[in-house]
Amino acid sequence: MREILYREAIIEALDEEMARDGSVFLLGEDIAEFGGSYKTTVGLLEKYGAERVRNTPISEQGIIGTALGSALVGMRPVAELMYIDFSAVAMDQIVNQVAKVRYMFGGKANTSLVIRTQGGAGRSSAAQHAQSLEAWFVHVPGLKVVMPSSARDAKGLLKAAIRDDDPVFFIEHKLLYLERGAVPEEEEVIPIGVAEVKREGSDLTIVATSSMVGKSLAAAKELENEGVSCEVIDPRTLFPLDTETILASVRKTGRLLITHEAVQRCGWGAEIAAMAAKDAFDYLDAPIERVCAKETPVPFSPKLESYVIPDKDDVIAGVRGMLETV
Amino acid sequence: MIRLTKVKALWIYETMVRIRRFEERSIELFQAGELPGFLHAYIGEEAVAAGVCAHLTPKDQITSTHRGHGHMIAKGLQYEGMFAELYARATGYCKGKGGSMHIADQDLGALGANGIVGGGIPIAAGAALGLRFKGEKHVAVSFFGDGASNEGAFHEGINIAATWKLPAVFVCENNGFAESTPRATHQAVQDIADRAKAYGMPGIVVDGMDPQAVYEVAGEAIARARKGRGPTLIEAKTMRFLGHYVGDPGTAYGHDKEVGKWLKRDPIITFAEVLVKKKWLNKSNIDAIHANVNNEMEEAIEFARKSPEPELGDAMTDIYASV
Amino acid sequence: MATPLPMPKLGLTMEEGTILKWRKGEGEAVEKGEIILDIQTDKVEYEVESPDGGLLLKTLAGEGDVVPCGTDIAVIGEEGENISSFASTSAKAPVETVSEAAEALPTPPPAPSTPAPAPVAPVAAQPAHTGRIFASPAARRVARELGIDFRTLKGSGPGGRIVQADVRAAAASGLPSAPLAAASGPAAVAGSTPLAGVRKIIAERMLSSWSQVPRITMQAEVDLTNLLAVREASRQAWENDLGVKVSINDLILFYTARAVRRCPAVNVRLTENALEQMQDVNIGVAVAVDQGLMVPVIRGADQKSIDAISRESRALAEAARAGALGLDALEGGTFTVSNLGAYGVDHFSAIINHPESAILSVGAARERAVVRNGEVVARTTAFVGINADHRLVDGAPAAEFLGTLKEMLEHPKVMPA
Repeated sequence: MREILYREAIIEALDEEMARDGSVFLLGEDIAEFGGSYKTTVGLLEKYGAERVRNTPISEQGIIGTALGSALVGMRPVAELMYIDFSAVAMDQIVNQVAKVRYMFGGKANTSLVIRTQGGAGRSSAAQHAQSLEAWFVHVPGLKVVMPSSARDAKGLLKAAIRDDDPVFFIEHKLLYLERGAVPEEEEVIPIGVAEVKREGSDLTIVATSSMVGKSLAAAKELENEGVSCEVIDPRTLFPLDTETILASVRKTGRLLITHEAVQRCGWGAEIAAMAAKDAFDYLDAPIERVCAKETPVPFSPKLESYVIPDKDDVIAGVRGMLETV
Repeated sequence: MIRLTKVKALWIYETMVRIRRFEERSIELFQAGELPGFLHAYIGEEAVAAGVCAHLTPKDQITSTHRGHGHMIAKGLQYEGMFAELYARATGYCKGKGGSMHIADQDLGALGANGIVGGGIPIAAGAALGLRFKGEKHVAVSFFGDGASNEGAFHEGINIAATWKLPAVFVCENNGFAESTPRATHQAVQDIADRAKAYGMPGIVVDGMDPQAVYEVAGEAIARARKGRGPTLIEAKTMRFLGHYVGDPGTAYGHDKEVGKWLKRDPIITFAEVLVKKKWLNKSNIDAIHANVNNEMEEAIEFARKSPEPELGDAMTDIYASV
Repeated sequence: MATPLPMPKLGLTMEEGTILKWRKGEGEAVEKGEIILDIQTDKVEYEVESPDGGLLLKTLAGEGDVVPCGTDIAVIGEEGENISSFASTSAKAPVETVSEAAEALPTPPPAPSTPAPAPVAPVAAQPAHTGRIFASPAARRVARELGIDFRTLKGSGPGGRIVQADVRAAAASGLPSAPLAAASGPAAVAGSTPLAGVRKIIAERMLSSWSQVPRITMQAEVDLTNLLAVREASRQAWENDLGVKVSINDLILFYTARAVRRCPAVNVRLTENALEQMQDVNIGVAVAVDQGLMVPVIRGADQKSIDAISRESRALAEAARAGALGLDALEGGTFTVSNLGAYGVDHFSAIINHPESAILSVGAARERAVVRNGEVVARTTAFVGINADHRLVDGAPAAEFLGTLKEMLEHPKVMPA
């Protein structure tokens, strides 16, 4: 299978969906001539024109509100928030409007829109450009939240998100954009709400999201040399969640480690831990472990940043701690 | 110049009566303990909703506010579904899940009252964008208050609309109070319409107690929007005759003192006088209109009272199109 | 301050324990954690550790006494401490009260006279009564399923937590496998240590099978001459190449498993309202041990080679006799073989190991006079019989099975290796 960059997979998904459906259009800051801050819309202005690839003012709630209004009259907008950190200035539109409209209106509302954004640390972007805020959105009924970890998932899931009739909050990762991965040439739509077992194992289940998937796979490979067999599951969609895949794995291995780049407290991992503690209680052989960012804003210093953000070794240490024997 | 025809004038008058009577009965029912939640009455501002919406078709879109009953009635929503919603019944416009602040009907171009001040402004810009994408000559109108004109959503929404020359009209109902805060203590500009200049769009002040004036100004703005010349900011100076919400006497912040001079300009009374003078209405016509409205309303209230409440399971539907 | 040692409560259902043996006498020095006495419940024999270091100032109950859980049985402290507040419990123990376990035992429970291979090596790190025992939810579940009292285990997990693997290891080693619910489940039969209560369970199970299962019984005389010839011909090769000494019984197990596979009608069982066709052929091998009968299981026996069967049956029998069988070795049987040939028995009727639906009885192989081609000749034969649950297994399928097995044993077509 050919290999392309994660960001190229995003472009392909947007391109294919814009070609397929005239009601799909893009709006966001610097997405037209500039091709997006992370070059995820390169070439689309030339192909689809300025009406459908719309540069916006730096007005995040304006972007989201405008996307919602257009969806309500039948369009399928894909809005880009340059950084997930900027969602904070658009929170009313995302949480009180986008997520609620269908319900408040008694079900009669077109809310087919995608909010694409990217998060994560690793580029010394510091505290306002490197957060992992996915839990905010998973917490809001009415939103679907997708967080792809590979080029293939990014493309297939973005296509599914654009076709979805519900608002989808689609979180990319700034470090993954330049990672290359196999993506089929032919069209592939990966359904929302389906996890993927990225690696099978028997001793311990690692549930990882976004950039932590790759780190967990690397950790699992290293642990294999110690005779520890880790299963790595990428939920891919944080809501709706493929609970069965996760629970089946936990029931098999008896141990669960959850890892994400977001800070631990009230993180998405807490939800997974609670679910497993309830629905796989009798299968747990160890307390559920979480490997997450330290509870601090993301620091600027590369040294401090890498200290705060979990990496492969943190996953390995977490696994070892769970398997430690007396 | 858009001239007010007899047909439109009578529609506006009747619409204002329909709004007024709806609000009066809602207040009675609320005070009788029949309606849950809380209400923000539109009484006194009817000329704005009626004068603007007289230009709109069901395919034109509006966004509204927490004080939204008037806009919804003017946009063509029916008493039955509105009362049923206030009664939290399954037959309401939102199946009892939205209530007073969220009444909406996408089919009639009513993209919702809105509980968040200013929340509807960027949505209206987006609706205007969507309408233009679809190549239709429809417009989106956003109603909001003087308080909302200080929200970021106002600036972001009208800036986008102006920049993209969207077919939108922004109608600021300046009733003098942002909840309890007098206008002069929350903004320095005398006229909110002045702010339009900052976004490169026309801004017009109109007497919000005069339906004909509202009708004419809105007509021009809407025609301009339909022609693709971009949005307009209309500031309608008006006054709510009651407190911020039903139960607020308005005494704490001077509303009770302010409101007196506005009551003399009650648009339903003054417009009736105008129409009688023009011989487009007489007393018996007026009585008939009121009687019809009252009959229709009492039937709608009965409909709402007899309607079933939502089932418990309904709480978990309409969250997603599909999961 | 003197520390009292109460009778531990080892399970939810334990109400009292019998003092088997004091390992320390009054006045002897004890260390914290040192085993101070052996007790017995109706389910398990248990070594009790000293809760504190010091002197065993006083024993409050004697060997053989039955003491309610929580009642003090000893006092540990420093020399000269006043222990008058600790009353002897012996007097309070009703003399006529004999524990159920003791009653069920034909002989007094064996007190370990030598400290050597103590069958209860893994004991709780802390005396059971001193606090919570840390066991993972999974360990608790597996313990429940296998009938292991996890409170008696030593945990290998972080912080000494008992994990699933510890329970399985305990079950496999046949150590303190004390069924929590003695009368329920196949696991309970498998009390694998020489315990009080095992005999009682056997009695209940036999009675239950005998009284609830309508049996059909049939026997056939099987000519083993050819099989013996095959064994003789292969003996050298098996010993040299595979390192096993294959017995006649091994061969019978081998072919029985294959006959069961071929006649699945006898590989069934009855649940509350369904007839379950068993997928695997797991052959139980009845083994006589000192305390009674045990039936360890050769799983997937129809898939195993003769040397594997031979090795496994030997290991299981040895483990059974040594009291070292784990519960997992005792579970999951689908068809049992009982061979009393070694005792010189010609034929007998075995009781079905419920919930299995059939059991094979094998008598002694010996030379008998048989008629072949009109002539009386001497052949080595054995009487082989099946007892089947007639609710599930009709006469014809049972007979078909027996015929199939007879044919296989009489004409071993291939070298069973």
